[in-house]
Amino acid sequence: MKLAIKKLEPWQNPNEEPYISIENISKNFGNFPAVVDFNLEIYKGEFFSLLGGSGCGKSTLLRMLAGFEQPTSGKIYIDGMDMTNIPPYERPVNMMFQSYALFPHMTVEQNVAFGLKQENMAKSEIKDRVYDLLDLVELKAFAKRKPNQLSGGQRQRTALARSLAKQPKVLLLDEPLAALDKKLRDKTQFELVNIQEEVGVTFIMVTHDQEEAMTMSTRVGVMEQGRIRQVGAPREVYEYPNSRFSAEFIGSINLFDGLVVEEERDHALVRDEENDCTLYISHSASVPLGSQATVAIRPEKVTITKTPPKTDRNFTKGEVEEIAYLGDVSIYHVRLKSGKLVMATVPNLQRGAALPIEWEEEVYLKWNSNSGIILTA
Amino acid sequence: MRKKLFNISILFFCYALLYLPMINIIVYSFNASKITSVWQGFSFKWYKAVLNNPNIISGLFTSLKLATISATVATIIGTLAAFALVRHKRFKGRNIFESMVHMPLVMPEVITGLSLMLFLFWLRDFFYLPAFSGITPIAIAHITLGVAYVTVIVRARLSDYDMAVEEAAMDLGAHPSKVFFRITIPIIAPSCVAGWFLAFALSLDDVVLASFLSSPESTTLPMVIFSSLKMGATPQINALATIMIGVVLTGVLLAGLYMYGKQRKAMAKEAVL
Repeated sequence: MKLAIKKLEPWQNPNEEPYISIENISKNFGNFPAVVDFNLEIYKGEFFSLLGGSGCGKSTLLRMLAGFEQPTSGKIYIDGMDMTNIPPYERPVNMMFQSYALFPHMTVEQNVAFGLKQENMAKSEIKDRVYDLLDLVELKAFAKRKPNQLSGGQRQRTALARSLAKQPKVLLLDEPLAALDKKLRDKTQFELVNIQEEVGVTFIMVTHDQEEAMTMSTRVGVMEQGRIRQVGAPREVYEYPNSRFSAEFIGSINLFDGLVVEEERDHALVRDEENDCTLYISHSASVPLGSQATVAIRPEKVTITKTPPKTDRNFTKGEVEEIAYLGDVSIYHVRLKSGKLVMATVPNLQRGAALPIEWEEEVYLKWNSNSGIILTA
Repeated sequence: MRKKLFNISILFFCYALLYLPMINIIVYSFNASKITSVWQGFSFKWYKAVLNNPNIISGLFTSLKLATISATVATIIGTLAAFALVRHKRFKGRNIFESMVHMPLVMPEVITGLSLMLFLFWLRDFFYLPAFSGITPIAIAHITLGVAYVTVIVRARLSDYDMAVEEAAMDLGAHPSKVFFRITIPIIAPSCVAGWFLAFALSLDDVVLASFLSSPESTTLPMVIFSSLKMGATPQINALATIMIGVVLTGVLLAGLYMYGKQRKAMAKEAVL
């Protein structure tokens, strides 16, 4: 059922009105452009992730949505209303801070109740609502504790409950899992998604962790230098990166630079002279013949073998330089004659199986014609 | 074993150095004799004498008034200075401001007192300003010193204070003025109170600044004690010192009990859940 809900994909529906519209937003800090002419539409009930390295402007964008920063130019609409000049304390938006920003002099209960108290709600009503939320995040037993008497995970859940208390139209999450250890983070990822589905609030998350973004989001926006590079569902962004940047930022990738030597509607041929490699791709390059192109191939789509392939396409040859054993998979680093390093991921399907391929062995790397993707940006 | 004995004797020696003089004072405050070093039986007469000594009583009230005023003013100015230094990383003259705020900490009190005294004379002689009278000159000096201490304490608290807390409150719908009174003030209050007490204590036991700046109508308690010692120690001083030790000990004890009770209450609450 949950899967069916996710399949709705409102961004695919041309009749759907966006819930949040960011229109031509720019933000300069002095001479430094943090966000440049930014446009984005987010739909109701989405879990949207802004993904990028540090300093890419993702946090600045989030702070503009919350109202802590004023955009230099552009407009922000939430649910059809212009939010651009509305101060943070009047926006129907709440934020969960990276540091959690819990009020140290208040108990968990008082922390969660703070937002509701600002609305002059009846005391009994506040209490009911607070305990519903504490129930949701499983913190009922800790209601009377102060933040310094809580563990990291409990603090994180308090912050989540507090930011959901006012039933905001949009919840902004600034690196919500960054302060947790790996194990807890993996668990919390799913909890957060479940809570989001339960409360039905639109979530916008900022993160630098691509795994986090991929696991939790309906859509991901990859950012670089204040601009958005690609927006799409996690699978789309991973399998069909639209640029060198998003291909390299999400996951690992092997890139081959060459010239387009054949260009048809259903396929293209790219010749990488430097690595003596011809790449046949089963989709069109959409660029003129003879122009520069990069072919991107994910390491898990590369097969490693000792027997030479029978064709003259989609393979290359090199020497195993490094084998990284990760438990579930091993990553082979293969050095080509040109000095280029190519990665291949091999799943470890059998326990105790001897390494089929050893260090310093001469190997062939091959892939299917639908594995590669042509990048022109 | 021998090492343990050595450690214990060192401990006793140090504590003896600290506390024997005080015990000596307390014991001899009940001495009937007029000579401080000869025991001649138990008596309360020096206590009576202290309480009937108009110099000491007026000195005490001057000191308390002075300490309250200067600690309060110093806390307000010091807190504002700490805010300026922590919240505004860049403004013109920030470095000069920072070192000037801290200057009284390192400046010898003799210099502060002397320079302020001469400055006040100068104001009077050149501008025919009515000379600052009463406790004003000492208050100015004590505020200057107190501001430095309060700034250091409040600043330390403010720097490890997560600014996002204020943003979070605003995000949850609190108006900036409300954020200040509900979030900022409660969080930094303990450090302001600590700063206030420190400034109060500094003012209460200062002799150096007061000796430059006090006038006949503004003689502080430490000055009274100091000047009466010039004519030889009288057992009255012992009695006065004992009263002061008693007040301080009671204060510390009460504060300790209060904290203990609070902790117990918190633990009891926890146990109920």
